[in-house]
Amino acid sequence: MAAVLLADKITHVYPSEPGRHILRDVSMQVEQGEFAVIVGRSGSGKSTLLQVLGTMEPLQAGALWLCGTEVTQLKDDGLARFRLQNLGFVFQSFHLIDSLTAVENVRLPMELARLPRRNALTRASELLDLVGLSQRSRAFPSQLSGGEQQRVAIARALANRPAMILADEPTGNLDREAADVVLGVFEDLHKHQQVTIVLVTHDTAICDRADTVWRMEDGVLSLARSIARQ
Amino acid sequence: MNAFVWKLGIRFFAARKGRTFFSILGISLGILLVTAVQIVFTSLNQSYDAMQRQKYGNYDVLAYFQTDGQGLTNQELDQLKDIQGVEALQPILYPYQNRLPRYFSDSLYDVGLTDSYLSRQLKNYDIAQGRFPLPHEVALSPGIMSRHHLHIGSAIQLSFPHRGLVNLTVSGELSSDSQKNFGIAVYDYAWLQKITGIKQATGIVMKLRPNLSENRRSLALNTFTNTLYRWAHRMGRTITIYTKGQLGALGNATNYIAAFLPLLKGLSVTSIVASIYIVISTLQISLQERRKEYALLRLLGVNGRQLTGLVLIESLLYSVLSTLAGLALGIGLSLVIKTISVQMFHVQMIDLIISWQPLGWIALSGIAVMSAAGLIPARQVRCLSPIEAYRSAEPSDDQEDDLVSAIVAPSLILLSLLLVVLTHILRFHPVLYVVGGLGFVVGVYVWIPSLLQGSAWLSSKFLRHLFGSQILMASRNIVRHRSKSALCVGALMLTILIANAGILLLHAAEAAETAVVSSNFPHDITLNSLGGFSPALATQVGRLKGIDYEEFTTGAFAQVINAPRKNSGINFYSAIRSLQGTDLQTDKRIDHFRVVAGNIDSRRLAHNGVVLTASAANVLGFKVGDNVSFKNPLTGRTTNLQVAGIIKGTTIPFGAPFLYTSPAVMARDFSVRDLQNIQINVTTGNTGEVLQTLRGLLRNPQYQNVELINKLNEKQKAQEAVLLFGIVLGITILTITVIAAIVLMNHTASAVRMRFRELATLRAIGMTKGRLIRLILAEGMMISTLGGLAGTVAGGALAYLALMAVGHPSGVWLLIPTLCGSVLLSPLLGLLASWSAAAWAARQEIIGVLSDQ
Repeated sequence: MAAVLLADKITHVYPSEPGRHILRDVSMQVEQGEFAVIVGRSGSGKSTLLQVLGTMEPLQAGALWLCGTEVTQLKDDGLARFRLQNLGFVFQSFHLIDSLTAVENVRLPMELARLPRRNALTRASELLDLVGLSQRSRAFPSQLSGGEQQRVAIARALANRPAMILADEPTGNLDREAADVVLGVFEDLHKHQQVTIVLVTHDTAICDRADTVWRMEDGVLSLARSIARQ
Repeated sequence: MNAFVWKLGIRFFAARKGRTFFSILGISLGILLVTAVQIVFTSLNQSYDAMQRQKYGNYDVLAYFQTDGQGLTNQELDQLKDIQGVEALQPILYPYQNRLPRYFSDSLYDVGLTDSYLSRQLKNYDIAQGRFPLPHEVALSPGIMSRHHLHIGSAIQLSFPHRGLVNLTVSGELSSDSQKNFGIAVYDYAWLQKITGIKQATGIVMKLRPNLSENRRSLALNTFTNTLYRWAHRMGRTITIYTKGQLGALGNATNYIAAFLPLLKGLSVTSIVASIYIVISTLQISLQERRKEYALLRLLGVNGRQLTGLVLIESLLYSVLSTLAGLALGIGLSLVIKTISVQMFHVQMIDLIISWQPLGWIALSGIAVMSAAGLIPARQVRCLSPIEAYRSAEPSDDQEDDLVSAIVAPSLILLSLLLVVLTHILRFHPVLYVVGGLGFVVGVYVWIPSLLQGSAWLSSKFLRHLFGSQILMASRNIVRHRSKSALCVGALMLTILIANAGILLLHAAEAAETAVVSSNFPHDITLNSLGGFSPALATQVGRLKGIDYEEFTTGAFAQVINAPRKNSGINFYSAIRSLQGTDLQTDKRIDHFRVVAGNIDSRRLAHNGVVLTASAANVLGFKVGDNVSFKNPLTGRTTNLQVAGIIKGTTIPFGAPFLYTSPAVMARDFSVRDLQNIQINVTTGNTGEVLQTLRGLLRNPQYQNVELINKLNEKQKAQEAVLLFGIVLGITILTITVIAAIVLMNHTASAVRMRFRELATLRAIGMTKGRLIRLILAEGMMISTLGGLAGTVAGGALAYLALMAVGHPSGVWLLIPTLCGSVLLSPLLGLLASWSAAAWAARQEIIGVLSDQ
């Protein structure tokens, strides 16, 4: 299996707190089609790690390869293009574009990647169908429930067929029922679409659905469980 | 309002320092413009007044009798002094009025004056050196002094009729020099009366009290001059009265700047409206940003009145600081305008006059109006529900406004257009053109939210394929914040409207001023006096070489009493001076009128003939061969003249009398010998030399009330006025453009701040900084383009209809470059105004924004 993500001794310090290491020599590897979960208490550094892995936070020390590319070599706009083509993001607060409908939100990354309009529209419809929201494609975010918004966010994350989806507490703002639906979507994506997922959560119940579970404590990442994949 | 509310209000005000600074700057620009216009035009008017005073002296009436040995008795002088409003009055003695000069080989005119402030205002008799003459003393013109080797203290002998030679001492030298063969001798009034035996004052100079209201001033002046005329006619005396009002009539013709004052006041009001716009938009942006905070305050128990107070405190702080800044900047700007006007365009302005009282009113009204503007956002805050504190998404603007915009606006536009069409077809009062224009502008403004919706639809359908999803997002955001977007569009519309309307009006004003100059001064040089002057001047003018001229007597004091059309609409004052004497055959050399009926034969006119202008014939109802009866309302004497001819196309200015007869008839039947004006065209002569000679002739005291008007000078003055208006218009446009840009900057900055997470998300999912910047710029450009188009249409329409109202629908072709300019410059303005917000958004770290913790 090829490694989609390879992190080597990543260390991170917030400039505002120079003495405090948020990440200490973090190394990890995620392979193609793997569903990896990073768990840890609030403030342990797991979200910061995801932000570094997602190239949103600049790398201070260590090395990071994503899809075989050493991202430290990329400049700002280069990183933006890399994210557009290779990564999908799902946030705790959904972060949909309020002025666009559900289908337009999903189409947005494809339009940014200059995919032909017809193809983008077809794929966006397929993706909304995949997350069970084909009937709500014309609704604006303000007209959708939290669970629905998160499913639109997942569909948007899949728009450009990314090598990996990075999800930061995707069920953090949802009730149990909605959270189950969203996790079901992730599980389906993993099982049937072989999408690589790195999901950060403090909810240990999710760990049962993952191939690999990493534990983050005080900036130190350790492998908690790994299931050998076929 | 408790201390907590004040404290919170001040905190809110100071929270966004950058925006607060720009908002204050923007609001202050409105006050700046009003202040600068007030100062510059007060200064200009006072400069004109000062120049008039310098030229003519600081008095209100100068009158003198043209009939020898007849004048005003001491009793009459006392009666005149008692007229309400008269501050001072001094007698003058011209003992040898209308007689040939005497003494030496020079022409020397005797004038007796009292030693008083008022006498010293008569500029021709101002004593530059030495002292005012006592009995047996004389002050002489410098030319006379030098030619006869006289100096102060010299003893001379001068001859007086019936007295022979009298020994005198030269006490002083007059300031004004004379021509080669002409001089003035000033004596003590009482002594000259004694020496000449003339007991009556043959002239008077009068000044009204300075602080009279316009009405009282006008009343006092009318009473004074009417009394003089009444006495003169009763006694059969001819009097020449030269009032400041008459000077004003000439002054108004030359003070072209006064014509622009209504336009400038309009511009000032517009700039205040623009400032109010900024106050409202700034506070609304503040309200949007603090929606949750305000809702939380409501949740915690702050009542509606306290919330209103909170917003009003913020509004008051903006108003006070902006007003103070505006006043200071306005004074500075007026200095700049003065410097530019004087140094670059040679506009005559003596000094800047800063009157604190009007500026105080500007400041107070500015603060009051702009603070009151805070009531609109205050009402919105008051209506805020506490539940807003829980809402994460920002609500979209109310749909009700869209309904109003979609239905009311087109109806208003259609009604306005209908009114204009009906006014045009049915010849309604022209002011309805302006009403229609204003209705059209309001209609376009109310329509803006619908136009925004339309542009969003357009961009989603068509532009998206060309410019990508940024355009769609930009247009959707504009629609989402359409009330604020509409504010920006409105501000830009106002800017472009002012620019378009201003340019068209400037063009019209320039054309009108040129027409006024051409109509008032059809000939190269005009010598004019409403009171009249001696025909001797025409004889002297006739000796000049290289000129053609025509002369007109003053109007006869008589009224047409047998006009076939009784309700001719001619008022008494127009009719009473409607007959003038002139030689029309000679006049034809320079006045190219047409004889449409009968003839203008001089001999025919000398035998009780009269010629009418075509309009007079039409208004009065006379035709060739009819008898016209003139009656002197004071004496009751009636004179009949027969219509010899009717002429058309005369360029004779100054009141355009209706009827002309021979000067001989005027003298014989109406006792009118004085001339009212002489029109001169320089043919082969040198204009400069002609002017110099004429100025020399006018130094004669008996021609003191004759105004020399040089057409070239008038043209130049008119151009100066247009230029000055152009400068102020340019500064106004620039100012309001900056205001509009600041409104747009505020709006964009607020929109970016409110959608910060959204923009960060776009960056997170792969949007490059460049595309993010383009997205924000697209919003700014769409708003400004829409504002530009709306402003161009509304401004062009309003200006055109305003011109229709005043009968000058010209210059529409100017709309083409301004339309193109607006279309090109509006997006550029949007680009510049939203650039800082876009760059700032692109600089932000994504993670700091997206972090949910």
